[in-house]
Amino acid sequence: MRDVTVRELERLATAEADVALAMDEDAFRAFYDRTARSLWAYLSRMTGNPHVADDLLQETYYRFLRAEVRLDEEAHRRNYLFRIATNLVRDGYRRSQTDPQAFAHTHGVGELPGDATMAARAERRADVRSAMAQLKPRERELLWLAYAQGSTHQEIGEALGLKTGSIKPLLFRARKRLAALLGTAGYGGDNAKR
Amino acid sequence: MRSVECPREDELLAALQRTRELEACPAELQEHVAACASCASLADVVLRLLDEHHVATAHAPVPSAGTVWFRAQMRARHEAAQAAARPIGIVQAIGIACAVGLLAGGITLLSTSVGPWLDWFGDLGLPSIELASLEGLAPATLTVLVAATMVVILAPVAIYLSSSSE
Repeated sequence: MRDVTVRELERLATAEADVALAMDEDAFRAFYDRTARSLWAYLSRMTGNPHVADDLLQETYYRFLRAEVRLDEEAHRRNYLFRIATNLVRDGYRRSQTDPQAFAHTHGVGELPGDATMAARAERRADVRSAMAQLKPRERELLWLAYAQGSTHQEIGEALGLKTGSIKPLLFRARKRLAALLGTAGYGGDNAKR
Repeated sequence: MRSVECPREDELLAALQRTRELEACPAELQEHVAACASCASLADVVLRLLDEHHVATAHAPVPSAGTVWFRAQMRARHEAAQAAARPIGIVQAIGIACAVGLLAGGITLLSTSVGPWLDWFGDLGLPSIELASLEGLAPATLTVLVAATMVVILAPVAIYLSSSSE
């Protein structure tokens, strides 16, 4: 059957075609600047692969812009954005495109070898990544959104499609599991160093 | 299983989210953490994740907003163009199916006798009572019947092939 020609694409690129998106460009730019970094961090830590996170970032914003859902409040838009991202991560995990074990090998971009303190912090981060890799996807999502990102239980529920009342016990169990994997018996020692 | 082991966990979590360092939390809260195993465990987990979050966001290699917006626009317009072209393909497929049906009907009409065709179907083991009923049909009626049958069979196939090729 007939395919779209390059000439047609060029014609469309000159804004003759008006495709409806969820927000105008200015509003999107502001929203993107507020959410992109945290979204990328979420995607990279959930997939364990920064390159997959790059692709999912674009896909997430595209689906957000094409969604026919009207969200007036910033918080709802943000929750919906993370809901899309979570579903994409889960779809990729089901198709085995992401390797949870790769989480343990994700290196922080820009980390430089430095003094002993920096090395200790890098080692602690490696421990966290290794432990997170052994958790279930939902446990990782809960812990990251609640503790790393500071989302409320209602926001987490909207992002993950869970009832707000179920977040607390699920989060508690996930935290206990992570603590056990980290071998955290109590606070103290080099954990106090920042 | 209880969901909260210490009633001060929410307070501790809020303080750590705000300060990102236990040393920056109120002294009384720090003393509590030192004495409470549950809060100590929570503090360690939260601080590790906050550190990880800080590193991930500080060095996130995100493209510019303009780049993401432009790519989204281009993709949306491309998909819209493909969607606009899809009905043309479907109409073409139906047209081809109708043409084949008419051709089959025309062949039927031009054939001097339908008997040999019915004998061929009979060799396939079709019930004889159906063949006898066809023999009584007028040629024009038989032509329309054959043409309509071909369209009904071929049109969905053509539409499927047209849609799947995109």
